[in-house]
Amino acid sequence: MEQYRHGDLLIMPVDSIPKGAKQTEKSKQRILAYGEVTGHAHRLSAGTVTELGGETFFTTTVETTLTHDEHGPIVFKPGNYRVVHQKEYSPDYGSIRVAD
Amino acid sequence: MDKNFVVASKEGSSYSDDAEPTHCNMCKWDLVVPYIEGRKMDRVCRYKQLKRGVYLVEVWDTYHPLRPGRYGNQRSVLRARYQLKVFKNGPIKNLKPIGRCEQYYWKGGLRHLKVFSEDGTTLKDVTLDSKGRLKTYTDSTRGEFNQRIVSYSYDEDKRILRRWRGRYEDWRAEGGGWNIPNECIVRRNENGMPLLDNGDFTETAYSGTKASPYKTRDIKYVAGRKHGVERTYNKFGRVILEEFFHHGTELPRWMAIKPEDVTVNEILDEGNAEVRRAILELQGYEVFLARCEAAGQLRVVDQDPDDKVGTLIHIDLPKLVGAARSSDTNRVSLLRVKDGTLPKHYVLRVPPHMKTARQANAWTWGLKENQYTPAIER
Repeated sequence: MEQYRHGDLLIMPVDSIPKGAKQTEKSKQRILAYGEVTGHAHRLSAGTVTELGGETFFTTTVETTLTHDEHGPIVFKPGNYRVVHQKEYSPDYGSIRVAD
Repeated sequence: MDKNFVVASKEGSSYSDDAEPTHCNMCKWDLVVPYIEGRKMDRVCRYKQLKRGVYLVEVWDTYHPLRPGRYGNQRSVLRARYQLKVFKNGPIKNLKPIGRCEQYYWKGGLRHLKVFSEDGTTLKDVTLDSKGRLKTYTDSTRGEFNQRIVSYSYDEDKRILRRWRGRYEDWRAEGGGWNIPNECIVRRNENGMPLLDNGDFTETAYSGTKASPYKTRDIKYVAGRKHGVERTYNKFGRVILEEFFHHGTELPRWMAIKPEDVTVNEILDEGNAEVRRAILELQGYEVFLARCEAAGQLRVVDQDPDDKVGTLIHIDLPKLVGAARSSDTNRVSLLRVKDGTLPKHYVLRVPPHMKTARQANAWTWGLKENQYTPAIER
């Protein structure tokens, strides 16, 4: 399975986007993740970004480029993708999302 | 609720969103804590009623006159004391700032600042000349203020008195200190970045020595990212906000000022990976790991040949902040990984039972050791 790592995101192709995934304010701007301290965002040039239960998905019918101020761009072929946020261990919560 | 003004809670120690100023049990006065652009100011206004409609108001430099400042042993300094007369039935809650700076733009070499109220009407219209000096100033709210200062006195600090005497008329005209947060004029370029051409209003400092990187020299941006101290002045030239940046990452003041004093536990306890990376960079990974080594036992468990996969380090500490289970009590497992694009390292915390760096890295993505095979890493 193809995997693409973009900073604290890992993007993997999936067969289909699960039903019920919805667009939020953030995903309408095609932002996959947002750094609260640095203000940098992982942003897609095309496609539809949806979220379901804390997981992020995107689907695209054209080639789309994922950009970030501090990471090189990655071009994705048309298809459905799932975005995994990097997590780290926390004694209190088991695991938490890596924040940047 | 006006976002610029938030009110102290009853204990005076934490702050809530109550609409009314609250009574402080320590000093027996009522407290109001001003906000600037969503940040608490290091300043508290407190008042008590002398008689009907007349209040004694004091402005202190820290959150509370009976408490030290947020960052250690900062002294509380009395900045102003005055009597305030409130007309009509105006309750003290009407002492609110008049709006937020929302728009900055250029106009034929002039800088134009408009302050809008929440419903969008223009409250203030300020024009600056090319050197940043005040040119015109219109305030449509002045007539709406139902407050007036009837007497004014400084005691104690003569130095402050001298500094302020000449400015008192201006200061009084603009609301007697209550709207100081809104007097902040930050000149910004089209992208919203503070202007750095001649450093009138905004200045930043270069990283100096490793021990004290924020000794001020003249600087600005390093590789397009903010690096150093950014100060915001009000129009009287007083610093009202200091923000500390390390290569684009904003740091808390106490960390930025003395990075060498941040302890191992405080770093491990920091929730934000960018902040943690920044403080580790300021302090130096070597220093941090040496301190760990001195404090407890540090072991490099596994070093992957690929630096992007990382190095797995176990740190055994006598006391660990935030340990939930007994098995975690004295072990911190850290994975030191290289960024995909830039030559910088992050340290991520991983579960203590990890055996190899590759296993730990795969865990951070929710995968098994042999499942993590990224085709492209950026």
